[in-house]
Amino acid sequence: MRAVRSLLWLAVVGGYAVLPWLAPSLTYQLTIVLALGLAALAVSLMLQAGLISFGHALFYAAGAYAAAYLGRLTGAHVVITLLLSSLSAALLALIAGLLIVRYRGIFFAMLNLALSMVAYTLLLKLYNVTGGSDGLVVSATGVAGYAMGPTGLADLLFYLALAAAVLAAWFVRVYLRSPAGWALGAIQDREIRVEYLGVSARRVLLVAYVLSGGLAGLGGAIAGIAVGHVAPDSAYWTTSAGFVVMAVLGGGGDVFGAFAGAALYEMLSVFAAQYLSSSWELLLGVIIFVIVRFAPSGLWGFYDGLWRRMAAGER
Amino acid sequence: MSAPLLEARGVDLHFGGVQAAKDVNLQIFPGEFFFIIGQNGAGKSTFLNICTGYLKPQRGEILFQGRPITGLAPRAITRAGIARAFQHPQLFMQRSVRDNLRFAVAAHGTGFWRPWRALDDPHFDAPARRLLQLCDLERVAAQPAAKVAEGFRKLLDVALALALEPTLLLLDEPTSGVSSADKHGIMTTLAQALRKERVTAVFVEHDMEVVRRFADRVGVWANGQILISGPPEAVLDDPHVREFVL
Amino acid sequence: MTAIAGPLLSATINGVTYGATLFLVAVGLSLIFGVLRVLNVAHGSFYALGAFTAASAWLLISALGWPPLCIYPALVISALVVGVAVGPVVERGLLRWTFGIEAEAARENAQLLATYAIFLMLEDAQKLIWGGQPYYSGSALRLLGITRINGIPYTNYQLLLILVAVLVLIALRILLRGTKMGKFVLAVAEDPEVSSAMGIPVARIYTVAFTVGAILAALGGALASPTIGVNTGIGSEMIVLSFAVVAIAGLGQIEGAAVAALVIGVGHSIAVFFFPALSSVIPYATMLLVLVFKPYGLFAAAQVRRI
Repeated sequence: MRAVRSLLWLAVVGGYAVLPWLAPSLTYQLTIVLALGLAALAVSLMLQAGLISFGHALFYAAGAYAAAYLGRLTGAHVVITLLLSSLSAALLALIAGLLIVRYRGIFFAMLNLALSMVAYTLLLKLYNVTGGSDGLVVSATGVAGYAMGPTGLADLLFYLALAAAVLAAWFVRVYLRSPAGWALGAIQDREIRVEYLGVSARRVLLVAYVLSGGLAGLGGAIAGIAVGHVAPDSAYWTTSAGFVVMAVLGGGGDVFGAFAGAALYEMLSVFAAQYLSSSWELLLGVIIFVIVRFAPSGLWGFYDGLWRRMAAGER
Repeated sequence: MSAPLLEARGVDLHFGGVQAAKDVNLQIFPGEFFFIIGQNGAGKSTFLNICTGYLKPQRGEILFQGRPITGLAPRAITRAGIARAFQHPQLFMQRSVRDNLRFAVAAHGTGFWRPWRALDDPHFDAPARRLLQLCDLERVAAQPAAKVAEGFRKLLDVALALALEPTLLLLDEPTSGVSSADKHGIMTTLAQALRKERVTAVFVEHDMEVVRRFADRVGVWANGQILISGPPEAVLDDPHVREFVL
Repeated sequence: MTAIAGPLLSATINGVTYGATLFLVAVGLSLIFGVLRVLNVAHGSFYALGAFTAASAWLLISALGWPPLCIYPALVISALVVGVAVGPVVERGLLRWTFGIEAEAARENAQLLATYAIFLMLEDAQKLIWGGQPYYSGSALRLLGITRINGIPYTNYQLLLILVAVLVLIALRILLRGTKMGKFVLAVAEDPEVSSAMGIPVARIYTVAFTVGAILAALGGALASPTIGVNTGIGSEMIVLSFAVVAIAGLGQIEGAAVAALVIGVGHSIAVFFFPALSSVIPYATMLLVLVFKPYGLFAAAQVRRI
């Protein structure tokens, strides 16, 4: 059974990898789904500890703006740009995290929100540095110094994003099974016991927060390069809320849930933009409400439940 | 007599008008089982909370192995070698009994921060197995803590503390909430485990039969003070204690 | 008057006006949190609905040829209509189920997400009803005339806004402390279980508190509508601002919300004069600064967990 599931994952990743061949016009959308999925993964990592961040757009935007600067300064290689952008976001998360991991529940949500709104306002107002509401152009050059055509870069970016997503998902999965990752759930359940086992809950959360910031930043950098442009809106709180929605749609249970959630979210938004431009948020609101109310474990819970039932049937 | 393991010197704590600890002076010696008894609200749990850093005394000092630990955070005190079990077991309820213990083992030993070492790694699992056996929890190892009987939860709560290889263990009513039929079984398992691990222990206990059977020394608390302390026979048969405290 | 004092006074008066609107919205949010323990993400939408309804009321009054002064009662009526129409439906229909979730973290998270979902629905409802274009009803602003302070003109409407906020604060105090219903509300805020055991109709108190909170948000929107361009997006901005006010004051604090709203309002307006680029950072920066030193806000006491 386990082998079947692993094979299925391979098939999903493989299938995703060939999609741009089958439908080249979708490459951009497919890349964006991966970028959003990374941000949703970042949010669902904190959800493991029962903490909802309404401010992860801060790190997403940080990654995208960092990519813009790196592209400007050096015309850096796209891989290096992605790595450095993700690191910048992680560094920002380290600084913010020193304050934020002291808070739980609503205060955690609100402080993240406040920080991201400070960033949003600064991005909007510091015109000379950030380009104000116009934002910045994000440019990246291809492999080994020579420039690639736009399609070549788009394809390259897609496969880089896919590799990054698979790697990130694998790492988060491994991390969540290690004591420091398991501790996140333990903190949600009984923080007092965690402390009485001699473990610093704040340090556990800080490590997760930095990892989470790095993942969101990576997503932001990928999206920034894919779009070729970044604007302050990427730091606005509704962007953060979108990540939360993706994480919840997918269900916090497993790393793939975040990507499934991102895919569903993006599909809904593309569909809605086409057919019900003025009521997309209404539809999304209804869907979120129904999921929170009736299926709190999200897509992943549905999928996992299916497997469990099959496993039970076998016996 | 050897040097005390834990020593309280003139500890005072009041909340508003309530005196929860009043000039508490106490020495706990290596290897002994010290039992704190007294009525509800006498300040028994408060004393444990002070010793483990959950509450800070307004005056006085707590020394552990001769070093002051007054006002340190619970985590630092735990790291120094004082573990505790709670009146209401503080467990990771959705997780299996075994995973609870593996996590406690990981918290204490090396490898906590290594992402490549999963919680079910033998490095964590082997000590956890030993503790399951020691605390008679093997039967329920695979069940979530939320699903097992209160007696097992009490034992697991102590087992989590023992995973830290403490020098001193503070147990707040380890048999409360358990049927009187199971009480002695649980206490016997606990006492054996503690003796085997050479852990000194301070208990808060209401059941005088348990106290009589397991205590090396007893202290009687009233209004935040120690009224009297000494060997169980002497203390429990003291007419004053019998009349006013029990 | 020195060169600095003039603008400073002017900034203070503008700030107090801005603070008055903030207070009305934030005190509603705080009331809802204090009684129901729900952080209502949809609260900004109530503000926006109030503003849109008031703008429509102005259009209606103009179209019917009624005397323009009718707008003032119409603003209040708009707020009442929005609060009474939306509040009970949201609380009873969409939030009540969350109160049964036992684990605190799971409940808080479900409530954050459910109210966010409601926020999204109400955002689109605004677009469907009022379309995408902004509404200006600024003429209501000038009907009451102008007062000059140190030669600088202020609309009397601004001053009226401050008066309304003060009246609301006083009224809330009297209603909460002086009436039976108010005492019930305070008791439920203190401990719903004990209140229920004492025979207080907790479910009804929840609905009443939520509705009053919604009315206050809508009142803030209705009263602000002549001073702003009523547009989609004002709700999503207002919710974060009122969060900031409530977090600075401490969740559930009422008088504290007034102080925090004043601080933010005046701070914001002074910053507009001296560092215009950074003025919008003020609310969030203040909130961060306060929470660093007072994690539960300026006026709330820390809660001690029992173990």
